[in-house]
Amino acid sequence: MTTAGWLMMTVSIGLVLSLVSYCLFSVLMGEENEQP
Amino acid sequence: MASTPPEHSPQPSPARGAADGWTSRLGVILAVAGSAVGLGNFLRFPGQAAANGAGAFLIPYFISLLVLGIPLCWAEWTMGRYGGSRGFNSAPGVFSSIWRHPLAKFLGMPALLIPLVIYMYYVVIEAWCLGYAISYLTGDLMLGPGAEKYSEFFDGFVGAEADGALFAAGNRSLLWIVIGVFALNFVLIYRGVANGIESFCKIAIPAMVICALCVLVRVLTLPDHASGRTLDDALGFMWNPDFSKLAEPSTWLAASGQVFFSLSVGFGIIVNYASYLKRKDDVVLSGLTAASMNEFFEVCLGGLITIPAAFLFMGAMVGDQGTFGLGFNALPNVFAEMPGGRFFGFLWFFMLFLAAITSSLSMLQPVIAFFEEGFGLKRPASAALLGLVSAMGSGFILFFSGGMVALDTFDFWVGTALIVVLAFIQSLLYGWALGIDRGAEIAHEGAKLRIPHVVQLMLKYVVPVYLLVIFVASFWQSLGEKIGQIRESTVVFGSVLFIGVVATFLLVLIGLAGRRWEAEGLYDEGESGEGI
Repeated sequence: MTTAGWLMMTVSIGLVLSLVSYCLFSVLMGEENEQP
Repeated sequence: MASTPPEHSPQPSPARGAADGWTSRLGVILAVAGSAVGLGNFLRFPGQAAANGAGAFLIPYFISLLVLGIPLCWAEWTMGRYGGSRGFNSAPGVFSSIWRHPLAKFLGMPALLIPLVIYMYYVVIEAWCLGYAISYLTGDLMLGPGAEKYSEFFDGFVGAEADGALFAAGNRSLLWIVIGVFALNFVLIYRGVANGIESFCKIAIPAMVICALCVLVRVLTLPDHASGRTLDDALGFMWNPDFSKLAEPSTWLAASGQVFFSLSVGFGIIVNYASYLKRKDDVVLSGLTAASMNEFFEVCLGGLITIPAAFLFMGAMVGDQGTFGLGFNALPNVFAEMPGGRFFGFLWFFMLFLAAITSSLSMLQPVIAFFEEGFGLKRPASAALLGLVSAMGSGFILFFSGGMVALDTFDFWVGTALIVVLAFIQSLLYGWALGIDRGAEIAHEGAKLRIPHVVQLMLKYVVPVYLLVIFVASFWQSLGEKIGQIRESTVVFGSVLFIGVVATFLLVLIGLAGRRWEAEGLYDEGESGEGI
């Protein structure tokens, strides 16, 4: 795989993982805070 | 079309037909993600990427996600919760609550027809996945190297050789699996939104992640192939960018089409699911989370497993395979050569089955909701009516299995063309009937995130045009050919006629339901007095 290939793969997967982690963390923290 | 919908009522009326609803925010997010994640994430996306610039494909893909996919998701979540707060769970009711025009409810017809018709053939594909998983357990699919063996197995298993082949004695295994899968779908849907869909998705989605991660670890630890191809070569086939492809409009079209089809926007499902939310439940963060989970399955798992594994064992020829060819011919060939292939083949197809069933469940709920709120039916009656109609469609697909002509026809007219039409209708309803200012106000009630104003402007001006371009560019050229097929093939003609009869049936039902809602004054419930 070329350097550009590694770059595209790392950036794409990194972006998606960051987004899904942020969203899930926010949702789970929100649910915890909303518990009575 | 420009009319101002009334304010929310202080005490929204309960949903007619059922007091069902989600029990947790994570539950609805998993259900929407489960609806979106399907075979397309693992089979269609990698194929599209490899054929359209590999790593470079991700650039138009992410741009389309930001400009088209996520804004449309937010619009559907917002409209669904708005309709739900006014007592409607089905698209005809939700659309009527947004645009007070006698025609509005009929615009909801595609939002019932699409999930219903797609369910008819999707449940058959779901049964293929389960059948393949079982075949790995029994060892029937360990046929050794040789692509033609898997092609023959597939044609025999799905009855592609001739119409009626699946009903012949000795070849009915798929038929029994379809009946079992069909029954499982209806048992889950009968249990309702919380006890059926939500409970199942809370188990199925983590199970899918575990299965996919196991297969991913196996793929990323594969030794070099005897032909000399290495894992590095295989990853390169999927990810080495060919930036020259970015100059071709077809790459941008393929990327936006993939985003659009993958997120399940334009299916009428998100509107229905979001209608079960409470008025102050967040839709912005929830919508973004569901979309990002879908991207995780597509980019992180689909992008690392399917094409790299297939390339390592079969070489560059995998780039020419279609979705079904890659999934049901190429990958079984790969598992046959892979160390531990029987176990990983089972895991892979069981995961595809889970991905398919979480999607098929979501296709039943919009129609069930319509039967219940439109005619006051109880769950047994609505499930029986839906079971009857969908069983007729699935029976049609199973009988006319020769060359998969009926399945392809259903998929083109409803599963591909009509969803762009429904997404276009929804973008107009949100951007022009509800209005972007009111839409933003409703979306931000209880929201954990703010939607930038530019997204609202895109929803009003860019998204409808973008959808028109996708429709014209994707379908206009093939439309003449498809219409020609209707004249030439009896099965294609019968398939289109079947879709037309179901559409007419739904239009009549919507008309009757509308009269009932009118007579009972349900349209007026919750109005603040500002009217329209």
